[in-house]
Amino acid sequence: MSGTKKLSILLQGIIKENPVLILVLGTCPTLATTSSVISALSMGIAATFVLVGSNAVISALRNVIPDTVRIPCYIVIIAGFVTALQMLLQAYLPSIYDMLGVYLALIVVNCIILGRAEMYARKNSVVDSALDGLGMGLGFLFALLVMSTIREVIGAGSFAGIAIPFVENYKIPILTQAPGGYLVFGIVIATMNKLTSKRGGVKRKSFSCEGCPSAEGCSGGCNAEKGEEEADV
Amino acid sequence: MVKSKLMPTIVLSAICVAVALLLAGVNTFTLPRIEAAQAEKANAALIEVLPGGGDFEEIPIEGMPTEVTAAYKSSNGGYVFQMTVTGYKPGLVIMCGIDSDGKIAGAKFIQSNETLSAEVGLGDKFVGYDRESITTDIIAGPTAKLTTNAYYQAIEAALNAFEIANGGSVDLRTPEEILQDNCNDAMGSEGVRYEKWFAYEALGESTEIYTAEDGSAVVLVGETYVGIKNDGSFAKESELSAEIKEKAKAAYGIYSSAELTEVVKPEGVSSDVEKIYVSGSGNYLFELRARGYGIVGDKYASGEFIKLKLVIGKDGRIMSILTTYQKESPNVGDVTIDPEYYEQYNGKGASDYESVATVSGATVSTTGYKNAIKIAFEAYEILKGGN
Repeated sequence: MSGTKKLSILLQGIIKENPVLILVLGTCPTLATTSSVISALSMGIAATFVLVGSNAVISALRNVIPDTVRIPCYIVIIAGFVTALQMLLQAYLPSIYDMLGVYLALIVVNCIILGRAEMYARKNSVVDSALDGLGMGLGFLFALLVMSTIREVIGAGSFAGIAIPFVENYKIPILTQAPGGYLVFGIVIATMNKLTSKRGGVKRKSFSCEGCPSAEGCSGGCNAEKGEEEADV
Repeated sequence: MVKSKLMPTIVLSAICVAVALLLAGVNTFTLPRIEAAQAEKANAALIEVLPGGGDFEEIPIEGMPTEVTAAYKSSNGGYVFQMTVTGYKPGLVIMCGIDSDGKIAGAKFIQSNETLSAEVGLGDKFVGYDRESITTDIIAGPTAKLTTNAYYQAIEAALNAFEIANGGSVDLRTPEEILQDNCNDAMGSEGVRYEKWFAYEALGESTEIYTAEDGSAVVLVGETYVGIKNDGSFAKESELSAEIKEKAKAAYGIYSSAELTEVVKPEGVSSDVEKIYVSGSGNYLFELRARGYGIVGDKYASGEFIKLKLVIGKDGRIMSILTTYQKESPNVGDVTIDPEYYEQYNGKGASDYESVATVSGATVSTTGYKNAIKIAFEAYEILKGGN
């Protein structure tokens, strides 16, 4: 596989298949941790670490893990990475550990991670899977940073905890709260859709049934959609 | 077939074991750092109330006052105690640091269910005081009485705990427990319950008499408790001086021959006066009701009067007073049943009973109580032939 291909795998997750802004996965931690830039950055890095690690290991074990127990196996592997990360953060960066609170443990059930394991890692090589995890993690981090910058700057009048003169006098505190999170999330997704549609948009196929972990066993919409696509052709 | 059935179980189990082993490995080298970080965090909270302290070690709290819920010893000889008390509401948690000299180094609220304003800074007022110098004057001022009293109680408990932690001995019995022990010691009995006799006759040089259901009585002469059996003989005669015996016998005589006669309520006496009695020597006992929060309060009030009885002596001054019933708000208006509150009226006359202060936080209840005292004095005047 050429270097260009590998680079495209890496870049795919950042814009074209951004897990938060295009695939709309991992919404819960996105809304919860983007009230400040520091917590968003920490969550982004933590999720990237787990994504790269779990994708690589799942890919390495893809020929060993039986299909019938693949989901429990993925969860055990992901939970192992998350628990190790928790221990490391608690030992070396306790303030970040306290800041992320329960959302750190909830990375185990982050659908981006399980989704990439199912969609990509179980079908591709270790290096490609690691690159996919890195790309997706960076995409997640990018989305979190965009969201948190808007929320913290306008909502709290600061950036990464540093007060911004003038802006701090005109802050809109609701943006740092839950309703503000939804509002900003909607605006950012709408902007992203507008930008991507100008370039031909994102193919629905790339993140719908093809990427669904239950696609194979689905007797409803998935097969119907497949039929429609074939009919279109 | 068997292989295909067993394989998933084996693989999943193997992955679980491998992950568990890896986590055990990570845990091995992160655990010491995690423990150190947690200890540092806990230390930071303790250092706030004990500046200069460090390397805190939690110590057992057995034998310490019941208010103390946790105790830590600092490497510099100081201690930090955590107390849980009840102020306006239960669940007031206070932390107090005491340095190696026994002086308070700091105190602060850890948790509270009350509305705190000026009370937040209460801890600073105690800094520098020790077990000998602490006084309720420290908490005098415009703060909520119930919260402030609870704070004082917590600090006192911390100072007692410090004494105990350093090998000293502190009498942790409540005043009521001490009284019961003294009465039983005087009688040579054990576990007998004594109640204070509501004195409507002056007891001479004795101050108080306590009686039990079996007919025995304990007379307090000065600071000596004198036990008298139900047949009138002394319980521990050989231990008593002739003078004490004489005074106790005189008081016991007054008690055993005391009688009350009900008086018809004269016209003009408030309906809140329920019954009036006169003693053999001409003291008047009034049973009356007070309109506290239960009556004048909002829809959440109990709708019930506070009931009390008091004796006004021939000199026109209150010689005994007792709250017999109340359903005021718990931990607020129920201060009216606290002897520390109502006994302030003892010795007061019509001219100075108003000097007893109302209790902040229980203003309606204590104002109603004071009005009942006024009604009793008015009734006394009428009985004496005045207007």
